Amino acid sequence: MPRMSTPLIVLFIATLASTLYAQEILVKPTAAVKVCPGAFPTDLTATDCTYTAGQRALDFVSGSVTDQAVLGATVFGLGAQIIESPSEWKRTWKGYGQRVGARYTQAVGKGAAQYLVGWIAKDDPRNLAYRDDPKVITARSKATETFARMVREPRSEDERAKAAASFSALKHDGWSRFGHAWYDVITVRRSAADGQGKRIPAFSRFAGEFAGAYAGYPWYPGAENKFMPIGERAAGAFGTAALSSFYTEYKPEIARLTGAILRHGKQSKPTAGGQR
Amino acid sequence: MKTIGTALIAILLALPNLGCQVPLKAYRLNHPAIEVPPPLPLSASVVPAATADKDCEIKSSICLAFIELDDMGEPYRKGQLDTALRVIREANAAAAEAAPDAAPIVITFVHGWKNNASEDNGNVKGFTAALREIYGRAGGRRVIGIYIGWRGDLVSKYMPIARQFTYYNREATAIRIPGVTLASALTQIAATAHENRNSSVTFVGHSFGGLLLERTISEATASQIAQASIFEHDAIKADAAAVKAPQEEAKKALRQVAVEKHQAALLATDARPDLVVFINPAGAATEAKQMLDFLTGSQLSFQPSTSDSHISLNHDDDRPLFVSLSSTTDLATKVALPIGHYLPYVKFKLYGSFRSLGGSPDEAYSLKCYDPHKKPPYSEEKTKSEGAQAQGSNYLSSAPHTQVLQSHVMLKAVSANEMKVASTGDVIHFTNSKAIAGCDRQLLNQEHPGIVSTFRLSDTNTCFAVQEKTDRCNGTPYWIMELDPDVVPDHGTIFTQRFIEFLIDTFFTPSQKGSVLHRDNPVLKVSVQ
Repeated sequence: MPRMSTPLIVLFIATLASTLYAQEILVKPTAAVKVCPGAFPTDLTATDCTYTAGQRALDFVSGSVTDQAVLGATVFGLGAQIIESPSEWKRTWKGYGQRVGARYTQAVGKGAAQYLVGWIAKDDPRNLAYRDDPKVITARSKATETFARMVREPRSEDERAKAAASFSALKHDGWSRFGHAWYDVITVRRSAADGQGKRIPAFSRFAGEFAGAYAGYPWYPGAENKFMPIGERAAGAFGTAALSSFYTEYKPEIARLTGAILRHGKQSKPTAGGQR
Repeated sequence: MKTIGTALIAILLALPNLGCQVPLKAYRLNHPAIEVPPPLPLSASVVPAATADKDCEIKSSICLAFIELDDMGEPYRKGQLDTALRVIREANAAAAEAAPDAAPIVITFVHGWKNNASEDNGNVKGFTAALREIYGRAGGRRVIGIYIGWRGDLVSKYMPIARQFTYYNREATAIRIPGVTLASALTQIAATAHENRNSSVTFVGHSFGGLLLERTISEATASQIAQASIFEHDAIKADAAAVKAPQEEAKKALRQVAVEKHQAALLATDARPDLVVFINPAGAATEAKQMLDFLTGSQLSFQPSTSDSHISLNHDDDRPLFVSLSSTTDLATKVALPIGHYLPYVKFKLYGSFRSLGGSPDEAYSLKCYDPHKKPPYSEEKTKSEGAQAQGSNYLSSAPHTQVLQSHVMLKAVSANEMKVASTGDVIHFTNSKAIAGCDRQLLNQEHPGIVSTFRLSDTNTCFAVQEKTDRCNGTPYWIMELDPDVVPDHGTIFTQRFIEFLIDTFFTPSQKGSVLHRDNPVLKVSVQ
């Protein structure tokens, strides 16, 4: 009996030692992922994803009533002043005042409608990047888990190659990202504590754009208050919503690009791995 | 209409002073140390919030103490520091009765712009959650958080644009606050915590808090390092003299001197933190360069304490004393900082305040390099082609975004055989697919040496690695690198499991054995050429 147990003990110690000193980091089984809209995965402060009334009010006031709206109206009013749009308003202080006033009224109208419709629909308009989408995170985790398991376990070369290919395929996500950004423009989630609210059309956003366009009604000359010019104004305003979603999606690329533009002085390129 | 335009501008400018200003006040005078409920088991769905009503007690597992400073850097009440020190002493006393492994973990956090110590502040909530997360990973050790509050927020969040214009004002405050009050408070925190030599002390500064912390701690730490070196040197000299001394009495006296000097060196060492982390620091690289120059000039390495006082050439033994990290997608330090610093830059330039590369030796600016693993370990880079950049360029960039100062790079697995470098987007190839599949440091190192750590994100399982930059100039214990957006996505999102996992796996897990977040008492060793 002692002779039998000795190899077993040696085997046990060897197994334990290999576990203790192994350099490999084992993958954890894929668990349920919760990501709040507008937040980052595993954000410790985002425990309740509900888009609260306070948050909605803050977004409305800070975006459509106070200084941000005033600045937006002033800057875009200046642009309109330069191109003299609409032509009925001359390039005078009065004309500039009309342009700024019209834009500020539109901003308040847009924000108010968005706030009201959003509050009724209980939606959550915050954007989420494709890479942070819980479904994408789960898919990545599963692919990594499968790949690691296939390489570790005795499997056929074919199986390993397939797992490696499906893992590597995750990096080709260009169209998925582009589509996700658009999807986030035209849809919103219902506000939910777990962040998994049902997707619904972005009624609040559409209502906001049209309400904003119509809010300029008392300011604009008659020719500008027909359905087509109003539609154009709404579509223009909708562009800012699209920009916001695309900014969320392409922030890494934008940061890299702007950082490179603003970089001062020559920077030595860091090397890694292969250049060693 | 002229009047309307003028009135609009006047209102815009006046609003911050018409009730939209965040008042100058302390928020935590009544409850300077609160208890943070420990995390609940995974099955529980409700996360309890920290309550301002419950003061920290001796039996509290997690405590959060506040030290608040005004716009001039003076404390609102000295009692806040005393309370923080009392909490640390109580935790040390409780740990002394338990196993040595039970030594407390002390983390001091300095917040940045647009934050303060108010109850509804995002950083207070985030830091509280982070303490809870760390406690969950620390094997039952007590966790003490100390939140350094200052008036980082000047204008209400309802005025987002006016708030942006407080940049220069708050930057000036972050530069003004470092002084005797904060420096002595941080020294006392470290020294008190190290009354138990197994306690670990970490200081973390975020954004302008990073600038504030760097300005405070660099001077104190440099002075502590210098003191410890001198005392240690004196101790060695006294020991050597004792051996040679002819009379027994003289020998005894010299040995006593050696013991006292060694004790003094130890006290100086204990008065500094074990690790200082600057995350997305909003300070110019010129701030970091002074400490880098000091460490380079002293040719110091931070390595586990062993009987051998020489620097180990094993890369695994290298530990950071300072870490400066920034996300590659942190637009605040990558884009806003260069823009914000441009006006002062022009002013400095007009006054001829910047030194340039090359030129006459009495005014030329140069970059000194040190890497104990290189031969020779010390060099001086002078030209642009050698990677050095002018002083003015350092002023226009933060240290982590200045590539010549970076010591490490972060790699992320993007396919079965490829990893991407976060700072450049370059892709490096691995032939052995087991390396990435297993996130195996040893296998990764076989193909591309210099990988100092690997870790996986718990949610995506993605494998990451931290690698020493091969042609680096900075081989000091001041590690500088850019982070992948998957770990830190922007300027403000730092209280995440992902970032905490990265910090623990990279900086708090000894390469050999030992438990996570264990202090292995590293010491500064001087390079011998």
